[in-house]
Amino acid sequence: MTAPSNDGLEVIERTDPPPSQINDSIVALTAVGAAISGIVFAVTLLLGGPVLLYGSAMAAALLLLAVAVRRYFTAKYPDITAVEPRVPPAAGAGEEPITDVESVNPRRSFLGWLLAGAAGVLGLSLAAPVASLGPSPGDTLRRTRWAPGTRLVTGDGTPVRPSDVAAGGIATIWPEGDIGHERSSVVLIRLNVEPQTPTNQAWVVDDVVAYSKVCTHAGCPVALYRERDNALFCPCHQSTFDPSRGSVPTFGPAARGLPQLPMGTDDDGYLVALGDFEAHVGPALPRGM
Amino acid sequence: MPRRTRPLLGWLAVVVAMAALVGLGRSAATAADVELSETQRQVAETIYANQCATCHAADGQGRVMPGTDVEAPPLTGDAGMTVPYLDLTLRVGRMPPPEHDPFDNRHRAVAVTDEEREALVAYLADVFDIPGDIPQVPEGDPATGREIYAANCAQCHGSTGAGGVAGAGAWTPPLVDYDAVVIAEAIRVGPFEMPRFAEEQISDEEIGDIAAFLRLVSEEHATPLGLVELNPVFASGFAFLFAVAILFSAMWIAGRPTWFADPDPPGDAEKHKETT
Amino acid sequence: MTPLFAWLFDTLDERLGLRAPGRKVANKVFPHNWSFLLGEIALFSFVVLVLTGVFLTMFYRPSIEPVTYNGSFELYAGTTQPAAFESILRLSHDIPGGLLFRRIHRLAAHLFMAATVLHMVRIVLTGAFRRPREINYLLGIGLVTIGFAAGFTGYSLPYDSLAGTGIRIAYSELLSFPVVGDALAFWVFGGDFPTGDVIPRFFVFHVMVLPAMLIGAITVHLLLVARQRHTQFPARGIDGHRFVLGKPLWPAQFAESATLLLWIGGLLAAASVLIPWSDISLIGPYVPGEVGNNAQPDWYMFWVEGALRVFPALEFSVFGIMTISGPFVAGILIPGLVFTALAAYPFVERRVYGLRGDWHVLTNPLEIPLRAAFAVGTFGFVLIISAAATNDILSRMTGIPIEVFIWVFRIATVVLPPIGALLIYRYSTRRLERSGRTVAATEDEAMKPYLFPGPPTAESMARSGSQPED
Repeated sequence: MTAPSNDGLEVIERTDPPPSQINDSIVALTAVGAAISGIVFAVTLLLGGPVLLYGSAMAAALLLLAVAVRRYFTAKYPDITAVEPRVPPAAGAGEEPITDVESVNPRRSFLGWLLAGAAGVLGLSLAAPVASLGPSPGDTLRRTRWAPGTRLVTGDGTPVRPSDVAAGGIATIWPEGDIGHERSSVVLIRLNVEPQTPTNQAWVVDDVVAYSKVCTHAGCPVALYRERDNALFCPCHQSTFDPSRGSVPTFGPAARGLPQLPMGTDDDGYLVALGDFEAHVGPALPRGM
Repeated sequence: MPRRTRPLLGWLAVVVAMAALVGLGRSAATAADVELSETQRQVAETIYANQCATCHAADGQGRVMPGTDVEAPPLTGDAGMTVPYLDLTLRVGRMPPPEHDPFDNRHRAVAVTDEEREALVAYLADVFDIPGDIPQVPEGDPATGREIYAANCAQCHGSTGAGGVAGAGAWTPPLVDYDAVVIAEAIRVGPFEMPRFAEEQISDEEIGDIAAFLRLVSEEHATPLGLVELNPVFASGFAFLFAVAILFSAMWIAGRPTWFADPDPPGDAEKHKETT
Repeated sequence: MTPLFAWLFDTLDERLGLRAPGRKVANKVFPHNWSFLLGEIALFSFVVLVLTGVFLTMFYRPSIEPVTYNGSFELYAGTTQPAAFESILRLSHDIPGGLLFRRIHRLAAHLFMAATVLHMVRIVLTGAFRRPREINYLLGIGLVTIGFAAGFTGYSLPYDSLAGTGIRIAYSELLSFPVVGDALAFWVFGGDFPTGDVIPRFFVFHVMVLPAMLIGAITVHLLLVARQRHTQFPARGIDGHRFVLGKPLWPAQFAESATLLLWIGGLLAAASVLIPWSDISLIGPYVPGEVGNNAQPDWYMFWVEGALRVFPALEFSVFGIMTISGPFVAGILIPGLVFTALAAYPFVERRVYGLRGDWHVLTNPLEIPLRAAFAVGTFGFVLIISAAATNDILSRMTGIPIEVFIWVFRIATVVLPPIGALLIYRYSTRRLERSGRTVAATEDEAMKPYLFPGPPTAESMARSGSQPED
């Protein structure tokens, strides 16, 4: 069963492939086919052809060449199974010295530690510029752009009257002057049921109520409104809120209700905020601020 | 496909009506203006009697559906029904419900032809005093439509109108196969679980833009497999198939899979042959 | 060899002395099994990623500043879009080859992650992590983690609606770290979400830092395999503890690898013609405050997304100084636990079974009860919680309300993995009892059933082809 050693390779088993005209033809055909496909790919791409054409040509070129390579090698070389010894780890590990030059003054070890410690401290302090990657958060996350008197506007800046929201309708609203500020986004809903606690009735204008749009779970916009059963639904992780009851979560992973925007009207009948939200908007804050 | 059972007389009436209506041609006039022809009235009466009255009652006041404790809503004008709402319900196939599951709210096949629907809407508008007009949708700009769609519709219907889930058994249907009138009606009516959008929120012109965007999506060039853009879940399904193809390729290149050779039980010296 | 190759080799050999080491390398024996190709598949996917990635980087603009798209796609012609999204539009619709290479790049990323994960599963199942390969195993877990980061930053770069939603959730995850979450989030993002710095920073990571880490880690990973030699399946008559049985690098392994590389490239191209892997033109750019229904990350992040969906509402304050919330537990702690368990397992197995010495031969997980239970429990958990991320699609397809799915998955993730682990533990123990074998403590003991009874003799060594000392 064992064949004679093969110059450094300890061969266990060897199968010589028989000469095969068919195989040789296949190698030739696939190799040429691959080359042609490659040219087709380049030409069709440069001439602005459709993806279907040059993509298929590229695929064909690579697949054909793969077949060619495989068949070439299996025909040209014997199939060899061999063994080689696993050289074990060097004997005497841990007993031999690593270097041949030894230290002269052993008391320098304290200084060695001091040096290493100083290098460590220096290395850490050199990382200080990394801190400037981001500003200090301060209490930014506790506030939004809503202030007393800020008008509610639509995405194109038009102020909103309560009558603009259809019965059973929902609209996305922004503070005037800060359209697009994500944490200040608000949904305006005309309820078709009586609002109940914990909805603050003082902030409901003609059955129109406003809540923060930022989900208190992971921050996605809560904008699905099921008119029939009065539910606000977040598409990301399926938190469900009840807008007639202060948007308390009724299902899903959100643990807090959406904060209600203190809302009233100004002299022209447009909706305005009476102040910022009383609770923080969006997901939980790390120190429960 | 849901099968509808009809008495033979009904079939005859439908065939006659369709032949007549083909001659009449389609009109964009509103249901309130169209004079209800006698054949149309007959067609509508038959359909209503056979498919609608069981639940909505012959006088349109609605009743408890037989065999359930669910009350079907009234269809009369004073109960709040409007022509666009009625038209929409028939256009998207929400009504008449499929027989196999009347409460399956997912995307349903349309159950009436265009001519039958026009007849039915005109007839019921007349008999039940239903107000309203079928909307006319202007040609719109798809680029503007995409922006408005993304701001108002995508959260329920998906970024490309593929439809989705709204929770508590509610589904939002895919929009790409609906024509512009359906879109317009739905936006103004806010049918079933859908909220409604007044003109101040989405103007008639913007509805045309949204419809243009959805039409562009439906006409988008697909790959040879008919795919346009993939949600990551479907992409992962295809990626799984691709990975299986790669694994089979690995087996082709490196040989059939072998697992752990079962060693012979100890002490069986005769069985220990030199196999390599 | 043809005269040209001979001349080339001689030229290099005269200057670099390649002949002897070259022969040694060419004769190196590699154990042969299809599952050993998984790591190579990951490597070749990485090669494709780098090649297509260089092309894409030539056109991509890492910024969200508004620019006007003046290309051929009528849906956006003349409109203002974030620069990143606009560059992707140009790549997809106006640059020849752009769409194909975008898709190949995305698919190669899927393949890289799939091959890496499957390779890790194979390593865990067959016990290739045993001493002396623990370092390489831990390095591999590091590679999986870097892969996740590279994938996430990569598919966020186009700044489309889906990507932006993912970035928002990542921001919330950073925020959820107790005590330091807000500072951490502001530090990574350069301020309150959304900032103009996110995309440039993701770009730096995706294009420079993470590929550099990957190349470095992969190089060390491969060098360690070369130095320690590959593990192998047990074979009758061969003392796997002392000998490697397999095929030489030249020509067998070379031919296999070359074929695999070309074949993978071809399949990637073919699949990219048929399936629109990364097309995002219709879903539009990310606009803060907007979201599209059916929002999921790419499949390898499903387990985090599923955890977020399934983990019940949780938010409580600890001593008034920090808040623990659901997203922290689901998105940070649980994945952290899984990685910790994976990293710790080799050491646990060694301790539990009193293993001694080095191991080079793979062991059957069905005959090592702890490993079988661990694999079923851990991988089963990850699989189930990944499936939970698809609950809205499942709901739409089956007509069953999504709330039902959420409850089903909540129960399944907690109940099924331990039950599965227990069942396979019992099966494995019973299998050992029936065969009269035990979990071997040393490799010599494990090799005994495969060899002649008694310690290896000179004759049996000669028959297996070599002397014990070189």
